[in-house]
Amino acid sequence: MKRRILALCIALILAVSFAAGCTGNSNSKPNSGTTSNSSQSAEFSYPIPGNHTLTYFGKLHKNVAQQTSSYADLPITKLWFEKTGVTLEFNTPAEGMEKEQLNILLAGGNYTDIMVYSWLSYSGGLNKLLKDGVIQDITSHMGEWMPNLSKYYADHPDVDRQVKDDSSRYLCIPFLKQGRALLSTQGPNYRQDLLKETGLEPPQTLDEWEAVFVKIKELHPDIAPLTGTYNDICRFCQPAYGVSDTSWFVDNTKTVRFASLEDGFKQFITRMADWYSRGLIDSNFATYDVTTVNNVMSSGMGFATYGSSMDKYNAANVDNGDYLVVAERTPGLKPEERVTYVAQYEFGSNPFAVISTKCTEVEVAMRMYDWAFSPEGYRTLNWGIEGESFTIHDDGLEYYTDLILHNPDGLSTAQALAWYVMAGIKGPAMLAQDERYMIQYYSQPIQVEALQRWGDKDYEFRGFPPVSLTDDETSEFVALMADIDTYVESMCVKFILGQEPLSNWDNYVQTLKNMNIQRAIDIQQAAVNRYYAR
Amino acid sequence: MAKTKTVIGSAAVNRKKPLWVRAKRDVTRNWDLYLIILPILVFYAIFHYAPMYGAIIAFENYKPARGILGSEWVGLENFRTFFGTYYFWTLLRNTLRISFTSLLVHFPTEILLAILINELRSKRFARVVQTVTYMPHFISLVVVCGMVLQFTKSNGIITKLFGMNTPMLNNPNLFLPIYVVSDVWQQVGWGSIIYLAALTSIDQELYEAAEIDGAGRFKQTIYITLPGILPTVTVLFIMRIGKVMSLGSDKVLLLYNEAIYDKADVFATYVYRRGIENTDWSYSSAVGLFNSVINLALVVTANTISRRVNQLSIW
Repeated sequence: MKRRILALCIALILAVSFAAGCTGNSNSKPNSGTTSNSSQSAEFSYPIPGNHTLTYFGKLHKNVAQQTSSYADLPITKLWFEKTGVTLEFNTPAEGMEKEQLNILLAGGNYTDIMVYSWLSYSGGLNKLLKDGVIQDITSHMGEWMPNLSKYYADHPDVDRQVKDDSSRYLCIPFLKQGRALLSTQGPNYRQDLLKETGLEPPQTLDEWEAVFVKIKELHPDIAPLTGTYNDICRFCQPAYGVSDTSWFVDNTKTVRFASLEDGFKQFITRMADWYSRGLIDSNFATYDVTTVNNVMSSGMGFATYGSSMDKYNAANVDNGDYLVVAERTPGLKPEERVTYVAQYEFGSNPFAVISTKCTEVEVAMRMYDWAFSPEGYRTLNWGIEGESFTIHDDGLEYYTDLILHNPDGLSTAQALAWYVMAGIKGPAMLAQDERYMIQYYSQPIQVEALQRWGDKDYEFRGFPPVSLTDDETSEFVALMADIDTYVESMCVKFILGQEPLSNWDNYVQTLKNMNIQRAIDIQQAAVNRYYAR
Repeated sequence: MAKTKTVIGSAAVNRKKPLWVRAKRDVTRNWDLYLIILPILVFYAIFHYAPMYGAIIAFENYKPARGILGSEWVGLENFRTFFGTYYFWTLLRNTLRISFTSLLVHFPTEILLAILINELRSKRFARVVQTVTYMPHFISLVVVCGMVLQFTKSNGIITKLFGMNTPMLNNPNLFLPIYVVSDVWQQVGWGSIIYLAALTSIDQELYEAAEIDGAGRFKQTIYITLPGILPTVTVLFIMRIGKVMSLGSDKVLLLYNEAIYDKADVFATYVYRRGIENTDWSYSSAVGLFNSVINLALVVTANTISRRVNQLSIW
């Protein structure tokens, strides 16, 4: 009898504290009711009881924006809400506006509970946000409230290293790419119809590209052989010289290099200056942005560029005779040579989520986002609703239905996917993308070919790892690099345009040294050392 | 005219009673006028004076999460960094060069256009010209800059007109002319409206008298029209001087590129890149505050010079 009373009392206490945890008022901070939570977790199951609403900030993916004004309208979002028992209130700026909107949000201090952004590109990164009191450290609750994601980390130690910070803290909920097909989604692409006119083979090396460009220039003086922004041109040709395609890389001895100081980079710039003077590079490249490049390619005024928009170019020219843009591998100097220091990482290139200090229902937020990493969540967010957007074939694998691939209402695959699958629109849930999503989504042969060709690069030595700097390092690094980046870009563009003779290269290097580039390299080196020690 | 000191906007001074008594009587007597000006005072208080509190962050290492009062105080650190930056002198030179050239070209053209329109005999034609010239003012700046970029690219119409075959905006020396000319094209009509208004207030009898004395059109312009609008010109000029350092970032941002940073990068674009792109709020505020101080100094100087030389001033 006494025992029963005791049991009853415990049950009562549990029920009361449980209710307190769910009403979501201010005392449901992480620490309150830890005991009740831990006793719950053993038998926790979705949906989370109670009525929970969290606020969300993140860009509205363009594939969604074309069709509706809110993530809340999508069947997949509704399903996610229903399964997890949590609703999100969306603050979703249009794509391209998210950076400005985020800064306004941060400056105002009215953070949403969940904030999704490409935080690695945010100056100072997650550490700064933590120190500034913007985001929460969720490490201590990972095992308890995010069991599925924790298991994922345990199964993928390399991903775990990328996501956690140098003190082994978890500050974010990642969006992950699972499979190599997802790591090579952009690269060189060119007009196959024009290449046929030249009678040359698809170019594999920089020399072969040069030969093709010269021929194109002869046949079509009005068409720019190589077009794109300055960055596009770097990413097209720079890797051939073994110096990555951005400013930073870590060489095979784990030493940090600033690409724009390297001899390889000088050779690259010299070559580009030569190409420019011979009219092989679009003379307007310095004034271009992404939109203008797309216009140049779509209107047939360019032959080759770098990026992932070939479908857009082809779609704009369906009625235009032979016009066809196809992909090619990133060229090396020698045939068969695989370019190094350019491959992406599973984590970091896509926007990912953080939980802000304004969030009072941390458990709810974490559990909601953990669902995506459960087997059910993984399948649902990658494939949608069974019988509607996908079916399971005899091989036990998921396949999209015609609702997605050949939409009866005439939606493009990307548009149809947006309604049912979050792997493509990369939000509002965070998940691990299944590479088979991409392979099926790229239904046309030239698209599948593109994935293979763009993926033809070195995966042992990848691009610069997702390191994190300390707060002090960050402010010093940002202050140094603000002027250095401006200087490097403007000088390199001028070298290519011929406004600055290449004989001034030594001056350029000296100026960089005077601007204390070595200090910036040291900071990065320290961060890289910590990264590999994780 | 030469010896009386003209202070624009000051009321007659009554020194007999204490200020608050006079103020009270003035308000009760002219309550309707005060009512009209009230919204403007409120506007300035809310949108121009209240935000000045935020200028404190120029002396702090500001973190939004900690707020203005909670952030770390760093004194003049941000200013010191700024004056030591590699680009400081480039930015200063560019800002002043673009601003003053713009001012020197822009300012007289507006007056000239107003006088020319004023001289037109056919009032209908004058109205057409006026409308046509101020229309571009209503085109969005983004569109105007888009047009400029199109017209000046390697095969753009203006590039071809000058017989060139590379984009004009790749040439650092052409940025200034392109900036100024497109600015004049867009704003000259709009800017001339205020002078046209000033021109109508000139007594027509002066012209008749001058004509009898044998003055031609040109002499009439020199001796009657220009002195007639001189107060307006002076006031507007002093106010323009006050904007020299805060040269708008929008247009430069839309037109410049890496190849011409040397000649096109100005304080406002630097602030934009550091503040908005690199989220370095405090540093940007310091630069902004520095700009404002220089602007204030310039206005005070211009006003003083004008008062000494012309006996015309804002205060």
